[in-house]
Amino acid sequence: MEMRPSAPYDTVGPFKRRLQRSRKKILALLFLIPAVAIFGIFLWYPIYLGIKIGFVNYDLVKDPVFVGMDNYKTVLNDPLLGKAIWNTTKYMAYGLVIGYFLPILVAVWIAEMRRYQNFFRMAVYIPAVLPGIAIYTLWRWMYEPQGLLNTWLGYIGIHGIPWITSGTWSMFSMVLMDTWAGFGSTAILYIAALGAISEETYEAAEIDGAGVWKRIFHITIPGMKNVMLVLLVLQLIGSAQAFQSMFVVTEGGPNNSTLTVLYLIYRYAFVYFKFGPAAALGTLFFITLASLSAIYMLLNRKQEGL
Amino acid sequence: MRGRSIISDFDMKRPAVKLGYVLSVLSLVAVAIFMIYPLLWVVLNGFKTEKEALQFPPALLPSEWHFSYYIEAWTSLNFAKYMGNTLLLFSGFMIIKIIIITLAAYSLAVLQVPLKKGFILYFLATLMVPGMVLMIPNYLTLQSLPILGTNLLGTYWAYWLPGAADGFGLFLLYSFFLGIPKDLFEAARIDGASEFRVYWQIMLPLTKPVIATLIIFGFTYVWKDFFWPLLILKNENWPIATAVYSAIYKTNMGRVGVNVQFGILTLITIPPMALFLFFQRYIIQGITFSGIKG
Repeated sequence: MEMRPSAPYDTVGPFKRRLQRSRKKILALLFLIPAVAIFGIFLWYPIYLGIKIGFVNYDLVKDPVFVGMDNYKTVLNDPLLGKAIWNTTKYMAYGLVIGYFLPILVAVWIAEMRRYQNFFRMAVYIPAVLPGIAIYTLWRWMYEPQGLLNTWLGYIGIHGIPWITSGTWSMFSMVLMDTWAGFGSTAILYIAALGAISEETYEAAEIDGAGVWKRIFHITIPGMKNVMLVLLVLQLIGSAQAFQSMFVVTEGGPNNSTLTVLYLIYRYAFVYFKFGPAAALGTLFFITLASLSAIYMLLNRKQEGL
Repeated sequence: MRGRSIISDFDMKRPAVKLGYVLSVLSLVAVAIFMIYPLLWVVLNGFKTEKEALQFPPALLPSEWHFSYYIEAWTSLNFAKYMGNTLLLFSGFMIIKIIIITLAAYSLAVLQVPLKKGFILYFLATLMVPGMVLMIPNYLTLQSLPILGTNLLGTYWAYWLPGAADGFGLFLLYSFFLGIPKDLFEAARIDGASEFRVYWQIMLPLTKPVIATLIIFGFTYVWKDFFWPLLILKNENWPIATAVYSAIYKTNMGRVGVNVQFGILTLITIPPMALFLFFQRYIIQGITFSGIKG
């Protein structure tokens, strides 16, 4: 038992003290029970349920029957699964190329501004507070064959990009839209990391004769390294779950070119009403992402320990 | 504001650095235009006639200002009702969440819970659960709760209760409580206050800034959320975002003109935008402080 400095009122006998202590424990448990129940019912139980339903024939009408690995076989033999995995990988890869470096660059630019830092910070962050549905609809209009984007590109001699009407462009267009909507909130985190680098470090480097590039590579980038690492993993976890943008803007098309893994899960459940295969695929996907999350937690803990 | 970052005033005297700086400013201005122009375009399209909103090349300013299309946007969709639903969804979501997670965080941080480490792990591990992946089992859980078998689909509870399972908020509060000196509670207990009174009259008021952050993010979250309510609620209790999704994408598109669609989008953007401009500082601090949650 831990030794605690006794409070002045604690001058009662050992029996009474023990009684008091267990009363305190019960009270502490009472405070905790609602959260334990809610987390249990709405997070832990669904995880268990998802695994379980992956092994049964579940169609909401008949009683569920154990079917072994049948659901897993169904989804693994679905030719669309390969396509969905490929599309998701494409989304993640484009996201890394376009979406990952942009906020870093913009954050450095903003942190360098002598004036109007607040304005720029706001300008890039604004889409993060907008309802997704407004963003998707706006971009669907921007992507029209004769919409805003093609008009702008027309000025520099690029004509008629089939943003969401061609399978070659559609996934890129999804990434562009989601980057526009999300990079501002990431940039804010980098700006915070940049703000934590002390002015004296830069002063000292400058006095020692380090030029601007040297300062960037030896001070700025190392200063952001931890945040960069954590955000890399977070971006991977987030972009693996891409779904809503496609659900609204392209409905997975054209020709399934924007069908992602999560979209396929959704289709199994709410279009074909086959909950078993949906849950089976969900379980496989969950395991993949949970391992990524575990890496994130480790990195995050490491960073906090620094 | 800081005095300097990478580039010092002295560097600025060198033409190469100055050129680089000017280029960064120009790029940043281009980025800012790319962010703001489309938003202005949405707002202004709401004033145009449908023909003008669809014209090529698209213009920014309307040739004539038609305020009537905004009125049409407001009436084309039962805005008052769906906004009311959104507020109801948000209030219940927030109240239940705050009560449940503050109690738990207080218990873990201040009271002497047995098996404390186990409980912390129980909550902490849920942070690793990628939300959308549980879409199917979450839906089925709401359809038939464990043990009770109750079907919550179509009721507000289906949205409120799962929302309280917010591990992120719980740990935000937990670390906040850990930072409060224990003497504060000891003193109140000596004065004979019950544990619940200490929680209610001392703890809760102290956590105001954290709760404010949670409320602001909670509002943006609920206001944005259209997909999950579409799955688990029914038309009568849909929030505004879901109603707009359905009006623009699912019902006969011909019924709502393009200019009116833009008007609708502007209207649903105003509340979160106003909140953002008003609480900007809080929000930026909140993101920085809490790591992620946009």
